[in-house]
Amino acid sequence: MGMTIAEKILASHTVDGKKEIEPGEFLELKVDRVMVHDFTGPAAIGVAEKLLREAEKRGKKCSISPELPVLISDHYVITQDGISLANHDTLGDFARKHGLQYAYLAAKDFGGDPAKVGPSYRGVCHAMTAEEGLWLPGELFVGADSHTDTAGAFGAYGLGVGSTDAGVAMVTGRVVEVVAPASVKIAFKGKRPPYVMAKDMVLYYIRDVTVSGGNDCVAEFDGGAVQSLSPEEKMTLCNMATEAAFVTGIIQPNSRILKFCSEKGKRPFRPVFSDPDAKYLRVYEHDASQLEPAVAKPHSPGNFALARDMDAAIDRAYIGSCTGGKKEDLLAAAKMLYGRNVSVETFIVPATMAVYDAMKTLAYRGKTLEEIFRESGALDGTSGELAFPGCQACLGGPVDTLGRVNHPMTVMSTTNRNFRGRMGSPEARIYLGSPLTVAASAIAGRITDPRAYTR
Amino acid sequence: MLASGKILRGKAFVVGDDVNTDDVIEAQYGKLDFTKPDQYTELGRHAMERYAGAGGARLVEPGQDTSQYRFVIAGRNFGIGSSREQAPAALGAAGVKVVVAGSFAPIYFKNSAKGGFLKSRRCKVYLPSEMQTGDELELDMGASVLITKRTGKTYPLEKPPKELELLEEMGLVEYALRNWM
Repeated sequence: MGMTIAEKILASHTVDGKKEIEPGEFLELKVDRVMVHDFTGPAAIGVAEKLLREAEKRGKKCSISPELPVLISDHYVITQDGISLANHDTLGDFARKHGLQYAYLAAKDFGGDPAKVGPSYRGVCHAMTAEEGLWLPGELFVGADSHTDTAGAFGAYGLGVGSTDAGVAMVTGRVVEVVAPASVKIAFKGKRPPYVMAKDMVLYYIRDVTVSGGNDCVAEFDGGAVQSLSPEEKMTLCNMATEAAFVTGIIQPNSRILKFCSEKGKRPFRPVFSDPDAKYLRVYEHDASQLEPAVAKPHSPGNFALARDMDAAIDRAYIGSCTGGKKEDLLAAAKMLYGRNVSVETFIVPATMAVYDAMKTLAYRGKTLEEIFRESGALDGTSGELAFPGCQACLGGPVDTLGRVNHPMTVMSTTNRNFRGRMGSPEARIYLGSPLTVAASAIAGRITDPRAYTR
Repeated sequence: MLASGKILRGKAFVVGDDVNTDDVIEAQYGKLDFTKPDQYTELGRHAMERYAGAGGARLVEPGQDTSQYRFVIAGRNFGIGSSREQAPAALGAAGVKVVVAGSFAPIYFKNSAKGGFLKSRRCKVYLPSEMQTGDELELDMGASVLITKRTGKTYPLEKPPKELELLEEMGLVEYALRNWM
């Protein structure tokens, strides 16, 4: 019987060497990498250390494989909050103690100072992991973060887990999947118009599936308008599968992805693909040429509307995060903002240090992105400087977080969640949209369809 | 942890659909490490802090460490959102023993069992329209039946897979020690 890419990856990682996966069955899986960050990592480390202690007590020898864990500082970095800062040191101490190979952390005792963050710091986990070539086709990548599904852009199975799972997986290299998921196919056929971005496609599929409809299923994205997306846009498409309650999202790797992973990858890999007779529980189809710029209204990513039907005034625009702060996201925003001025405070927050550096070199019409943003009045909203890369205000964070929504206001944002209180104040109203839509809205001061500003 | 076969009695705290993990525990408390006893207790104080139930009821009264409610009764998709295990940890720390919902978001569902914080049970009946916050409930874990004392109505709960019950009983750490090491 035919199998989907997700079923093949799961089967090839079962401890007991299953040939096939039956949806609903209980699985024990061998994992290829385990990612934690400063938000979920300290508890995962607490679990891992407890497991190591208990194992020793019972006379069982074990150690952590240095290549298995991936430790990342990204969530609460530039802050004076004591516990948040101590969490980076918890990760650093653990990495040193166990000689871990992949630690992308803020320097010890950096004190929340961007100037002292050190050379190992990279930025948002789901963007830097791709830059570092840690996501590889056919692999099972476990991450203590719900947006680990982003790995699916590279044909990997990105499994978002909690800290206990991650802590146990760092020590044992294994994870339990209580209910093996079925696969659902989400196809975007035809040609995507240039004003439609992956974020728009996301908002359409969440509308179709609903925020609870993906339960116990994997979303496999397919079709010409999916495969023609760049790797970064595929990352955005997979990232928000979790918002529809999918276990993960995945795309069969095409030649561009395989080339990317061959060049960047840390080790050889074996891609797998869905069989032509693979079984899908449901199939959703869109003609991509008919899509329009979309937004999610407060307070749910599933609260779909077309940008052209909106007229809400906004107080702030936020362009950043793993779904809005990558190079191509900022390039799209820069093309919109070139030669125009924003009319509300606008935060441009690069996802990673590499994106931050690229803003000084990547150019459009003879100007760097940094110059374009500076001239438009964007950058970090208040200081006029290039914002420090990281998760920043996407999930609120400590009260001194850059761009945190500390009082009731309306925000148009490229981030991935607009739950009540997500960016800070529970009275704030957060709208989600693509970098193009958010940039257009920043210019107009109201939620605006990017087609309003054509060149 | 509550053993199977026991009867659990307590009050219900009723919520609606799509209660997300930000509702259960705000992102700013994500810095708290539930493996440290003092921070675990602190998580309990903030469980569903901004989520007012019917009539403005609070899961945990301000200034209290724990809740008067042992049951959270929810609609669809409880625990959607972040993977933060601080969510089931906060509910467990607050003294909640069981969440009964129409469905659960996948990561929350697994976290609640593997961390050994509290149980998650599904019910096909839409319970938020059957129950009120403060209702006295009785749950027969062995028979998987929930009883509302006020109305006398009984509701069958879905029996979880036996592997999940095993994980709930021992937690993933003990499971790993016994099976993988």
